[in-house]
Amino acid sequence: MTVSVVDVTKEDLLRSRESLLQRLRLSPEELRERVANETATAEERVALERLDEIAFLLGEQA
Amino acid sequence: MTFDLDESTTAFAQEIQDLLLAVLPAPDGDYEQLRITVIRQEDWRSIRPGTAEKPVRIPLLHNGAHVANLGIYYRCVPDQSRSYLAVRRSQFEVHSLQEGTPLLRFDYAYDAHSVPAAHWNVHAERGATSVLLTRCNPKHQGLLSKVHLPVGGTRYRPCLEDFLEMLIVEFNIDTRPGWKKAVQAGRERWRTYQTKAIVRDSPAVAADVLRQLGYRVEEPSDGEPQPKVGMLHGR
Repeated sequence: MTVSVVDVTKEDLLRSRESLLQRLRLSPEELRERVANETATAEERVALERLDEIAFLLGEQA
Repeated sequence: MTFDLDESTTAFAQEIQDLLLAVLPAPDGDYEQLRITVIRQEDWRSIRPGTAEKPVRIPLLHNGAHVANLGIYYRCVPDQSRSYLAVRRSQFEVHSLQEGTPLLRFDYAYDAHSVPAAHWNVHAERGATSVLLTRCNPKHQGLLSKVHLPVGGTRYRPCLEDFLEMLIVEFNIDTRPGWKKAVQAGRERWRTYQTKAIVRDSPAVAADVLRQLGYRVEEPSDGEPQPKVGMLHGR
């Protein structure tokens, strides 16, 4: 089995982030706090992972 | 040899893919659940299971039953000299099926300052730990899960093979035939790679050791390379 390779643009990532935040109905700060306080659901933890991934791919981290 | 970012990323991701397929059985033989995706944007690379839009956890089985989930990701960029692929962040974690919070988590962040670059978080609270933490450090939340257990920094950190073997040996997670060979081969690859980096961090030490082993090693004509003190001091 070979890995999947997906190219994305900055615009794709910004759209994806906006759509994710709309679905969550939480701000990134609220979501991060829920994860830090261990009150987040499994879905919310995955959502935060995705938000952090988007930030990384946009060059906003490290 | 010219560095090719895409080629290096795909090769690294395929090593992870091959390891997972060699070690972990999939529920009902559906190995798509173990498929790794590489997401590329300019120089930034994310490697993990799931679709481009959504990370997923890999099911862990015991006696064929789905009992836990494994979370994995790597985030990579070219190193500063654009000579090789550098992991900037990675995470391995195991989740029970009952709750969102992981049971164990191994995090790596190359640029970490306030916590060790490579550390375990253990989500297993105990009263005596909380009492000690809050008594000695009032700023601490008093949770063991917020204690960052250091594991050797960037160079000496455990690899995915170590994490998988821990799940197999300690939790008795189901494996595929030949898993140990795949784990040992991957671990050897990882440690060989890290050895090269460690030699670059401390070239004079490496040269001394080689001389003790009988090699003839001479300093470069432009002088002895300086050790990378940051890598030797960083936690």
